[in-house]
Amino acid sequence: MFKSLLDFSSYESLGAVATVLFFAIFLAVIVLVFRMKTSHVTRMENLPLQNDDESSTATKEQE
Amino acid sequence: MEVEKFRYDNQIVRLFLFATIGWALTGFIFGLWIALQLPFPGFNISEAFTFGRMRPLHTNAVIFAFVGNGIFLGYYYSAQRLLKTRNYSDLLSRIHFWGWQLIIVAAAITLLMGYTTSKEYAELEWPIDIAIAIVWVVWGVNMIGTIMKRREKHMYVAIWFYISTFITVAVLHIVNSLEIPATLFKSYSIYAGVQDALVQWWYGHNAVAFFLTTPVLGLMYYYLPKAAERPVYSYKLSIIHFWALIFIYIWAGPHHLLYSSTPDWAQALGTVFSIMLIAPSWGGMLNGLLTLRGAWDKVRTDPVLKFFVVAVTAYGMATFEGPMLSIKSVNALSHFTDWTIAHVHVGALGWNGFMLYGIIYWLTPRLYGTQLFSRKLANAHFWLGTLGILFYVIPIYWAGITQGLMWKQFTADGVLQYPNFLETVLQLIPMYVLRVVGGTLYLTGAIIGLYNTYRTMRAGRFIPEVEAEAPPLRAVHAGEDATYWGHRWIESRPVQFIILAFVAIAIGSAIGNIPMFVIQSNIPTIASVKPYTPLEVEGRDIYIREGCVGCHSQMIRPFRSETERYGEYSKAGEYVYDHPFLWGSKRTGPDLLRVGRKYPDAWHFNHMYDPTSMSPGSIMPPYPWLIEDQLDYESLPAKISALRSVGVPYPAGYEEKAIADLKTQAEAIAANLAAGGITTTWDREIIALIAYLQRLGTDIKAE
Repeated sequence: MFKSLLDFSSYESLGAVATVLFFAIFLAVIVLVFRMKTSHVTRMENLPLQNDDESSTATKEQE
Repeated sequence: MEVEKFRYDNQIVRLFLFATIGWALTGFIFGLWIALQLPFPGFNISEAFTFGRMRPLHTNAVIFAFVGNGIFLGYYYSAQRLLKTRNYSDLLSRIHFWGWQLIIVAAAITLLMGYTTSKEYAELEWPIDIAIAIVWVVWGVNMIGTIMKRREKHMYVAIWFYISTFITVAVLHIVNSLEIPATLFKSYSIYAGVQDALVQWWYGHNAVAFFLTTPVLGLMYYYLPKAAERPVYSYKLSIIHFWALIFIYIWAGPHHLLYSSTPDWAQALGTVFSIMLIAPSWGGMLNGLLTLRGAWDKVRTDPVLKFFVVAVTAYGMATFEGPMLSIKSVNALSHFTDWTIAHVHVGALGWNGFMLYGIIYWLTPRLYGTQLFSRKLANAHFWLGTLGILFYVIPIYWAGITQGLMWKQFTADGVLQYPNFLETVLQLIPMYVLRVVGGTLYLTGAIIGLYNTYRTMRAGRFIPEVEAEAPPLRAVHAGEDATYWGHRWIESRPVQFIILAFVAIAIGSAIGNIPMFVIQSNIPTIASVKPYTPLEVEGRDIYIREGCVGCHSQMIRPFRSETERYGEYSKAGEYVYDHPFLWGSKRTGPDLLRVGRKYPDAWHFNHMYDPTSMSPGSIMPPYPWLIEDQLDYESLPAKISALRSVGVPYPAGYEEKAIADLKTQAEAIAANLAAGGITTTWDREIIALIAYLQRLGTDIKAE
């Protein structure tokens, strides 16, 4: 059965199936993204800046 | 609110920092060395140090040693801080580090000794393959354990990229490395010919995607905002481009096989998805560059940001060029030429190299609680590196286009204008010399970087652990509305995230590969194509050992310019006993698929002893040891048995007869050489190699 499913003429429609599949997932992600709360997005955008155990990289030459 | 105190582990970060800097220089030096070997063949100094053996050493050193250690360096620092927890296990971290270094050392030794599978970026033999799988899983367990004990509920985009890297590379490595061992250091791929090619380039392309791209994007999403002191430009864009990237990338492998004997449907998939890749790739590139909004003035003064800007720009250039090279009409010109080499070096030197050096310059002062020793030296490194990239890629683009055009040029009378392949190679020598200049500049910059980081370390004092504090997960989110859905939901659920990421890469992997194995019509068989004789098997293994595939293809594309030069174009059915396939990806020398019976045995003997004796001006290295060294055929029965188990139809019990057949064929070749005035014995390696070369392409060659 699996073979017959795959055995369509020259696999010409594989590209189309794959493209449609991609755009379906792409649209789903777009919908999810635009329904996100701004407060959450802002918080996540700033996440790397929260840990500040690091000091400046400024060199003596800069100072 | 309850707060927990914990410590970040900087020691594992420092270990990977040392390894990154050290292996970078090793990879660059080997790259420079093989770059010298092309215009100056005298740099092929001995058996172990010929171009064929050193090229995979260079690529493995840069990809897995330099970039690999750089990824782990950046990961171990950023993941702890993004997840607000120490690594899951210090022991696993150390096993990961030392295991990875041992693999690199084992790779260097075995590749120089000629132990190779010949599959690009997957050359290492089966014991090392197993070690890679184990160490990779150690990293994965440590990563997932760290995620599970995190104090930050939502995983930041960098963590998604690390997760997708772990999952996908594990799948790629295991599937592509399936092989049957014949001896301790010799195995045969379970796939043959077209199937092997498709699996290998599914792996090879996605080694670029999921080893050189996704983890480095993860690093970009952490270190670029840190260095710019700005939040990432668009978190929403990062979500869209992440899922699109990992879903699409996995399909694109067949673009390495355009105009080959792979089925058209596979080639079409490769092209379509490669072109679609521009969108998510540029999503990442734009997100990186736009993170610098309002901070561009800092780029003038901060060397870290300079490295990052050029890195992200190189990423944008390479990810635009890649899809263009996947268009068949462009690929017809570019494939097998230096154009591809230039393309990958924009990515490796620009994107990977500069991202990692930016991270090294940002991290080292922080790990040592000091300031960067010299901004001037860092700037010098930056400019030498940038000029080095330009001096490298411009001549090599030029070389690629020149050679591609020369191969295809016909005279007004309709014959090849440059029928002698060597003529198209010698034309490139000035460009090869210029490439050496570019590589030297890049290496000089890296040496300055080494000195600068060393002096920075000396000026400070290493901080092995950093105290931190954060509320436990349950305390932060105790009163949080648990009904939210959408992407925010998946960001806080690592198990579901891992499953979804696996599904995203599994769809393309399955559709791209499974039909090749279940539908017979994909590989039409040819009745006249027979398994290799025992002597030819030994000869083929020598061909693999010496890395001949690094310079010679065995794939004649269906262009008149190729059939005029080499003969009948390649058929899928010709390769059904090729474990592994040896199509190659670069022609520094001519295609060899139809070289069988083109020249007498004596020609091959003399050519291997001194290529210039048969092809004056040839840049191919000499192989005198093949004439002197005795053929080791003790493992031949084991090889026959292993090949039978992967599908080559040797009759039952042929192991006992194989050595006698080998001797008979070898004696005939030795006698033939003697008739041409060449004295040798049947049991020399050169005899086996001649047998293999004389067989190539003859199964369907008209008499």
